[in-house]
Amino acid sequence: MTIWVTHVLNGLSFGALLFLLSSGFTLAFGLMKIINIAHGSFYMLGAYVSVSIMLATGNFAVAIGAGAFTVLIFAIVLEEVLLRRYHLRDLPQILLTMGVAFIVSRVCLIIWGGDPLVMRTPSWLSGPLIFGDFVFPKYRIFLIVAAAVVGLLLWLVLERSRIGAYVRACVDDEEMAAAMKINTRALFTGMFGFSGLLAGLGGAIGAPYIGAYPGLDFNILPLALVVVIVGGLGSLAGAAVGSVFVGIIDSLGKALFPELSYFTIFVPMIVILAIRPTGLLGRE
Amino acid sequence: MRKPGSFAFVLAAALIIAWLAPASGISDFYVHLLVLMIIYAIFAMSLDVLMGYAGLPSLGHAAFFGLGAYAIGIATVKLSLPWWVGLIGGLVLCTAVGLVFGVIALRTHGLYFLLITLAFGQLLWGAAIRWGSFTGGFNGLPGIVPPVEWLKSTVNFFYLALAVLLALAFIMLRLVTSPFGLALRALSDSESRLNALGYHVWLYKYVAFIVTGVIAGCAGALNAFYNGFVSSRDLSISMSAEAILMVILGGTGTLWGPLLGAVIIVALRNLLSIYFEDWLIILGAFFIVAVLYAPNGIMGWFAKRPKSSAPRDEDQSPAVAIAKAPAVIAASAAAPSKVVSRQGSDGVALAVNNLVRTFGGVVAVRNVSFSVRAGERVALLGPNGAGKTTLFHLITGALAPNSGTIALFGQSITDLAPYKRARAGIGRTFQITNLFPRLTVIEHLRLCGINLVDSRFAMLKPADSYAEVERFAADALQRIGLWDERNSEVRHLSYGHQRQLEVAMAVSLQPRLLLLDEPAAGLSPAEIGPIVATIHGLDSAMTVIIVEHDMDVALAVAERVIVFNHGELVAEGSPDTIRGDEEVQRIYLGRRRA
Repeated sequence: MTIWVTHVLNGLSFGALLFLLSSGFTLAFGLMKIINIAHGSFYMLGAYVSVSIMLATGNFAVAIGAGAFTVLIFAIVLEEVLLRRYHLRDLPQILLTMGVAFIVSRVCLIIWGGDPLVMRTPSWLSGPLIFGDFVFPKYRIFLIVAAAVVGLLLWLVLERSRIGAYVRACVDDEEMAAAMKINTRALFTGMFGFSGLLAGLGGAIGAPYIGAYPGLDFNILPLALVVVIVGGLGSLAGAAVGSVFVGIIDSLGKALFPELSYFTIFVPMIVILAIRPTGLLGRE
Repeated sequence: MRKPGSFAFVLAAALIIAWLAPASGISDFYVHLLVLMIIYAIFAMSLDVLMGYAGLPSLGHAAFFGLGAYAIGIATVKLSLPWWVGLIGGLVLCTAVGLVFGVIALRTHGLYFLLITLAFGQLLWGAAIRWGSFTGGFNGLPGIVPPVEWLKSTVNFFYLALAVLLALAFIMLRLVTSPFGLALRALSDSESRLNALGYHVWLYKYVAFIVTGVIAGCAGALNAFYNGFVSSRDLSISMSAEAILMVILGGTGTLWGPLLGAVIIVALRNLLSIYFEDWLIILGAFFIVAVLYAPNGIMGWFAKRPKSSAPRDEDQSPAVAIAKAPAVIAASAAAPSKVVSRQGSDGVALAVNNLVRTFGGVVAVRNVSFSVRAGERVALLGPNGAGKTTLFHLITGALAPNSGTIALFGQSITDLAPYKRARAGIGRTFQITNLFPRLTVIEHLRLCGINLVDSRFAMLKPADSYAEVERFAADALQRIGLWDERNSEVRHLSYGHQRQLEVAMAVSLQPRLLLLDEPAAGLSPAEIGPIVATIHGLDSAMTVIIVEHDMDVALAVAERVIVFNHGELVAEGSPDTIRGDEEVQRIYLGRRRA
C-alpha cells in the first residue's frame, strides 16, 4: 500500500513541476494566442541560471529568484523586440520562438558545457521525511507545496485582482478591452514576461530534482504540450488538472511498464483528444 | 504566385543540371551537396503541399521522414531483411501512421493542430531515443548499404535522387493543380464554404496528410540509403523546423520555392559548418531573419503585385472560351438532372419539425415547425437576433439542432453531414460574405463545375483542363458580368462583386433548395439590381428561402412570408397580409399593441 502512496506522491511532485512549466504556457496562449516553442528554453534557462547562482552564493532563495528573474527579463525583451509586431499571427510567432529556442539551446551549451548539472539541495530541504514506515524526500514535498502556493496566488490574481479582471476581459474581447482604456500592449508584454517568470521558476525549483542538461528544453516542451492538450489550452485550471493527471500517470507508468514509460503520458493525451479535442477543461 | 511553372521548363532545367553537375568534373563534395539538396527538396515540397496548399502547417513532418528512414535501418541492419522490404515497409508504415494519426490530429483546428503535430513528432523522437534495442538509441543505426553496388558512387546516387525528385515533383505539381489541389487551397481559405459546395472537407485534409507523409517518407528512405545510417535527428524537431524554414524561405504555397529553400539551407549548413560549429544558432537566426524580412519567401519577391482588374493573360473572350469547349453541358449551363421534379414527396421541399437550438442559456431557435412547397419562394423576416441565420445553419448542417427534425423532399437530413446535404441539393449563400479570398473568380466557378462533372477527387488532371467545366464557368461569369474579373483574386474584388459571386456560386450548382441569407446586405441600390435579377431568373422548379432586411427585395421575390421573432415563428402569410399584420408592425416598428 505505502508503495502506491509513494508512487502517487512522486507523481504529484512531478505534476507540481509540470504545473509551474505549463501554467505560463497556457496563460500566454490564453491571452495572446501564442504557442511559445521557446517555453522549454525558458525553463532550461531558469534551471541553468539558478544552478550557477547556487554554486556562487550558496543561497537557495537567491538562486531561485535569479533564475526566475532572468527569464522574466528575457521574455519581456523577446516580446518587445520580436513577438509584438506579429500579434495574433500564429505561424510567424511560432517560427520566431522556434528560432529563439534553437539559439538559446546552443548558447546554453556554449556557456554551461555538455555535462548535466544538478543543484545541491539546501540542507533544510534535503533528506527524507519519515512518518512511521512511510519515507518520502522532503524536497518533493516542497515542490508540491510550492506549486500549490503559486497556483493559489495565480488564481487569486486572475480572479480577484484588477489586473486579473483586465486579463480576463482581454481574453474575451481584446478590442473591447482596449476601448475601455485597458492598456493591452502593456498587459501582453507583462503577461508574456510573467509566463517566462513561471517557466524560469519551474526550471529553478526543479533544478535539484531534474537538473539542467543540454536538450532539456526540447525534452520538457512536449510535457508542457501534453499537459495543456489534456487540460485544455488557455485554461489555468486545465493546466492544474492536466499536470496532476500527467504527473501521476507518468509515475505509475514508470512503475508498471518501465520500458514504455515515455509512451504512457502520450496515451491519455490521445484518448482525450479522441473524445474531447478541446481538452478536459478547454472552451470550444 | 500560387501557380507553379510548367513542368517542361523544370524538366529541361533539371536535365541541364544533371548534365552539368557530375559530368563537368566538379568535385564529389559538390555532387554530395546536390544529393542532399534533392533529398531535402522532396521533403520540403511535401510539407509545402500540406502547409501552403491545404493550410495545415505541421510541426512534426519529420516524423514521416524518420519513419521512412528508420524502417530501412531496422529492416536491413536489425532484421537482416532485403532492402526493398525496408523501403516498402517504410512507406506502408508512413501510410499507416498517417491514417491513424490523421484521424486524431484532424479532429482539431488551427493552433491545436500545430500543437498536436509537434507532440506527435516529439513522441516518435523520444521513442527512437529510448527504444534503444530496436532503434540504436542516440547513436542510431549505422551500416545501411545501398540496394545495389552501382549506387555506392555519389554521382550515380545523384542520378537516382534526381529521377526520384522529378517523379515526385511531377506528382506533387499535378496534385496541386488538380481539382483535388484546388479544393485544398479552397479549404485553407474557408472550410464552411467548401462544405456548402458539397465537398467532403475533412477527407481532403486527411488524404493530403497521408499523401504528403508518404512523400516525406520517400525522402527519408533516400536519405537512409545515401548516408548509410539513420539517427534520431531524422525525426527531431530541428528536422521538422528546417523543412518549415525551407518552405517559408522559398515561399509557402509555391512548390518551387521550397525547392529553392532546400538548396539554400543545405548549401549554407554545409558550407558555413566549415567555419562555424554552431549550425543551430545560424538556423535560429535564419528563422528570425526569414520571418522579419521575407514573410512571403523568395518567390514572394518575384510575385506580381495584386493583379488589377484587367485580365492578365492573353485577351481571351468568353466567346472564344466557349467555342473551344465542346457542348457537353447544355446551354443553360446547368446539369438538369440535378434539379429533381416536384413529385415524390407530396410536393414538400423542406419540412422542419419542432426544431430547437440553444447557445448556452439563449434559445436561438425555439420549437420551430414549418414546411415549404417545392418551387415555392419564401421570405424569412424578423429583426436582428430573431434566429434566422441559426435556422439556415441548422438546415444546412453547419450547426446541429438540440432536438427536432429536418426533411428534404421527404428524406430526413437531420443527421447528415453538411457536404452531404449540399449534394442532396441544398445550396446556400452566407450572410457574411464567405468566399475563398485567395482564389480567383474563375476558380470559384471551377469548384462548382467540377462538382457537376463529379471529379472532385481527381488528383492528376489539371483543374482547368475540363472543357465542360470551363464552358460552364465562362457562361456563369458572363451572365453576372464578372468575366473580365475572372483572373482576379477574390479578395481584390469590390464588395458588390463579391456578393454577386456569392449568389452566383450557389445558383450555379442548380440546387433543389436555395437558401439566400441576406444576399443584398450592405449593397447600394445599384448593386442590388443584378442580384434581384439573378433571383428572378431562377429556374421556377427551384425552391428558394430568402432572409432579407431589404423589404423591397424580400417582398418582390416572395410568394409567402414567414416572420420570426425571439427564435419563434410569429406570423405567416402572403406578402400583403404580412404588410398589414399588426404583430409584424409591432416587431419592426415598435408600435404598441392597440
